[in-house]
Amino acid sequence: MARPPEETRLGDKHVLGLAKELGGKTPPPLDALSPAEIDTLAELLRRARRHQQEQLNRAFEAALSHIPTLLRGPVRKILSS
Amino acid sequence: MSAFEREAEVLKLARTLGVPAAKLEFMHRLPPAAIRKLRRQASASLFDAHKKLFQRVASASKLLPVPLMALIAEKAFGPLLCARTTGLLAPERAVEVAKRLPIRFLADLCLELDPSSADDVLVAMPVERVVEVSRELARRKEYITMGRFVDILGDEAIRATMADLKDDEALLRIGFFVEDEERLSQVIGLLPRARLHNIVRLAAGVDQGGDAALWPEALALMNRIDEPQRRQMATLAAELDDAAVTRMVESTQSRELWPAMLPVVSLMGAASQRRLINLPAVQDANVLGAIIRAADAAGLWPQLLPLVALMDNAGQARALRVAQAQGEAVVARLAESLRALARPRPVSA
Repeated sequence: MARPPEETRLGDKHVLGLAKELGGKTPPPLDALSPAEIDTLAELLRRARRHQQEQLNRAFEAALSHIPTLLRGPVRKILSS
Repeated sequence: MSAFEREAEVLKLARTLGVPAAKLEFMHRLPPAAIRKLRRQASASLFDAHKKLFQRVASASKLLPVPLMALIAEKAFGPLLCARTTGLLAPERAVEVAKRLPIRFLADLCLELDPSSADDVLVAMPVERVVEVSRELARRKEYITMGRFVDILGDEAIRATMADLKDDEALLRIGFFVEDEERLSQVIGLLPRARLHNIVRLAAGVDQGGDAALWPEALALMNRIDEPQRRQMATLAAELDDAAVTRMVESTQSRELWPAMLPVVSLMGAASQRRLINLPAVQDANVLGAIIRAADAAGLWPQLLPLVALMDNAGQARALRVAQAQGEAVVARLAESLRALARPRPVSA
């Protein structure tokens, strides 16, 4: 019996790797892509997340180094857990 | 046409992932809907990765006066953090903060913003602010971003932005990236006829030193809008002179766009169709061959055959020879399509 398109290759470790990078969401059918290309997508997503983390870190550092002393308290309060 | 949609979707995914589109060349093998779904999932996962931080920023910002919040947003948070937080703020507060931020910063923020995550804020934004930011984005040629906002902004903001944006090429390129086809049709419907006329003239290379470089974008647009608007644009194109129509044909041929062109030509008036189909540029054997291949591959015989009927005798004989040269199977499908057209249609009550 044919599998529903959404479940195509779900058992494939490359697709599972991508799904993990997507926060557990099932990616669309990717049968036209090679395993290496699916891995590339997962890697690009990983890098994008890392880049976002770096940008947020920079925002934090900027908050403390570029704003007047008066504002540092509120900024620290907002950005720290 | 899916080729255009695919190209737009790959560009948008590249933007989401922060990589050049060339890195995603392999994605062109997927249908546009799959690329779009992947982009939305990627965008959501990037948001979810630091969702708690964004929510904390949004909650804490309620405690600060608006001028201080605007100062911190610009000087400390930067455009990425602000973009991720925008949709979590109360719209009226987000608008008040936005009013105090420089246009340059708001444009940076728009590059990072998923408009669908902040639709309440965007709809509440004063039209003048939207126009100012759009002007800055257009100056930077950020057409992908602008196209994504068209899906969300209201008619008043869109109308004011289009009136402010004098560059017809920019409008055409923005249209390429609008996601919602129904919205794209509505927006085309908001354009005054004279403006639409200018866009078609631009695409056909009139006043552009004979360069119809934007004709593919115009075809992409026309294939994504509702039939009334498509017919209007097709009619405007048909009203141009032979030289302009020849440039459209040459552009279509060089980019192999006949599957997109035939549905547009089929909406022109009979006199315009007769003129176009008998142009020397169309009657070239290579061009006829490409048209017939496109009609056969894309099931566009019902659009092509009425045009063949408008060719002069020599043209019809030439078209038949070209079809025969493509093999018996093509001729058989052509004949079947002819029979289907000739069959009497049931009379509706």
